[in-house]
Amino acid sequence: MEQRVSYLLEQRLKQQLTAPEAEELLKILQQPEYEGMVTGILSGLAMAEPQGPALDPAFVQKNVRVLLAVDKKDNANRLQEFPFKSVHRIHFLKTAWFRYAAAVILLFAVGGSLYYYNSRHREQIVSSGAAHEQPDIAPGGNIAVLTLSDGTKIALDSAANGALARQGNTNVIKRKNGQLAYESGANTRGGYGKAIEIKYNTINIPRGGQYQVLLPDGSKVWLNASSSLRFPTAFAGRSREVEITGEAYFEIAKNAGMPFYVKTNGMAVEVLGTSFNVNAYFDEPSIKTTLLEGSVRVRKGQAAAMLAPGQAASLTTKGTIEIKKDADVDEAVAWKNGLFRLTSSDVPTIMRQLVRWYDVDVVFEGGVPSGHITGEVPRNTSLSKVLKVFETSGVHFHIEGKKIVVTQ
Amino acid sequence: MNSPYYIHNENELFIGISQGDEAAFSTCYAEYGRMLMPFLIKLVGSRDSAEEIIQEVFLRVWLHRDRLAEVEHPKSWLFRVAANTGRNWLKRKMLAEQHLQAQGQKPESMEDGMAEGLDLRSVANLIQQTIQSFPPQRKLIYQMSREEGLKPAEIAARLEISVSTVKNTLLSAIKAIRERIAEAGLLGALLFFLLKK
Repeated sequence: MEQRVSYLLEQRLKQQLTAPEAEELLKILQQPEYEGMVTGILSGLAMAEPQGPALDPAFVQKNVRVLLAVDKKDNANRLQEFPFKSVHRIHFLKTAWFRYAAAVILLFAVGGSLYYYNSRHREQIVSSGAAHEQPDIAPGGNIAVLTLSDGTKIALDSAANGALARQGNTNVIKRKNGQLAYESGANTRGGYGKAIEIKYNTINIPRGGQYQVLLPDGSKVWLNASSSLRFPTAFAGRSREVEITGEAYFEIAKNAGMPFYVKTNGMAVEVLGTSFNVNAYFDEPSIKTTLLEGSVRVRKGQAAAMLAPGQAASLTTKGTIEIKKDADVDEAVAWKNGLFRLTSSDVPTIMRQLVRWYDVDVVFEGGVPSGHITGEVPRNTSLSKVLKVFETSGVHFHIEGKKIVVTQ
Repeated sequence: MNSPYYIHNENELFIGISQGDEAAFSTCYAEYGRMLMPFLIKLVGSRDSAEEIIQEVFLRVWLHRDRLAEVEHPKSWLFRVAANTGRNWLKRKMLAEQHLQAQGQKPESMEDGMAEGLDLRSVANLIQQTIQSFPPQRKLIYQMSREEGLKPAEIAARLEISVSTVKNTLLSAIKAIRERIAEAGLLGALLFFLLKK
């Protein structure tokens, strides 16, 4: 066996693998029991390879700086300085479960001037100009990786619909609409004395992804790009607790006897039955919780605040909680409804959203433009078209590979 | 690069990294990156992917730095880490190729890379989250080490605690971070098993 694997890997390195051999090799790569063997063989082949020319010192310096920033607080916050290398993605499946309004009115205001376009006019703007010469970048899609309690990973974009796994007494199902659902098995109501086995699963959404999950208690969670959700596959005990990074919108099933807690970065949102959005991206200035319905309590250390519908709480880096009474609820959840919605947003804020959704980097040439942009664009638009629309505000953009270059 | 380290003293280089020495890490990156690049390019078929694999390899090295001093043969250890990371990439790449072929598309039309590359930002987010959840002293010591670049002895002097307390705290902090990343599944199977001698 080892000889065969060795032969196949050598053929791969020589680019002489035939189609049946490639299929054979892939099967071997997919079997965990051969992982050690493959690693050993590859390691030997790597050792046998002569070393290449010295790496460009500037390249090394840049990559090392990026890597060493991974556990530094200040650096991770500075977006432009760290052009994290982007990964091109292949979308295996694009089942759109986001439904957004077809007719979109764009309203842009920069520096006091107002422009109004109806959707027909927008089409003209979008189709004219440099969009044809520029390399374009497709919008994100429904991409996520589910990690089961035993460490097994399932790529949800490519997984077939139907039952994916069984976790304790819970079935993990990918529904036709792409939603991931956790359903308790029929025999879970075994009564007293039968301990329910609780396992934790994690869903990671890469940049350029989003996903919707139905939790075992019937609560729905929408996850935005570059986010994660960790949750038990069955809720037991006195409370329901999940943990997020990035951004998520929740519709929590009512259960007064079992409060729901969303934890992120040391902050907790306590919920009784309600709809709300939490934006906890690391590169945003604060953790923002926006309430649509019901009531929630936001807590971090000694600081706590109760929110009423239509209000938003921002946890600042200083640890204080600021309440906004008339929050723009539509803006907070626009992503879930398939839109970029901007209300007097500054350019860096907008760019951070594009970075996450299109999996690109941003470079500001000639400084960061001042001014604010207001408007709406569907998220399933290609990047060049979105930028074209934003250009009506007077800020200029172009795409270079996987980078947006912002010029004034 | 200006650095006091030389590759012929691999163990010393690894001990430097295990103590959080960024210059040692940089030297290690340059030297091993050079050794690995031609092999990885052949394996995954593009320089861009090979560069990303090297980033992932060295992220793994950095996240295991607390254990590097125990590694007897740094070169073979690092090559195994690279081989393991390369294997994961190869699997994903071949899966993607197979999928595209099944759809009747030529594999050449596929852009380089795969659905799950290295997402440093998510790793950075998770690390910050983990650091925030540390007990106050551990958090302070870790931040003094990483943010201010202080050596264990300097941290010990400032906080008026023993140097060994500082060292042990840093070790447990790195371990906690690594475990959290493994738990979140961000870097695939971590290479703990590779460290066993």
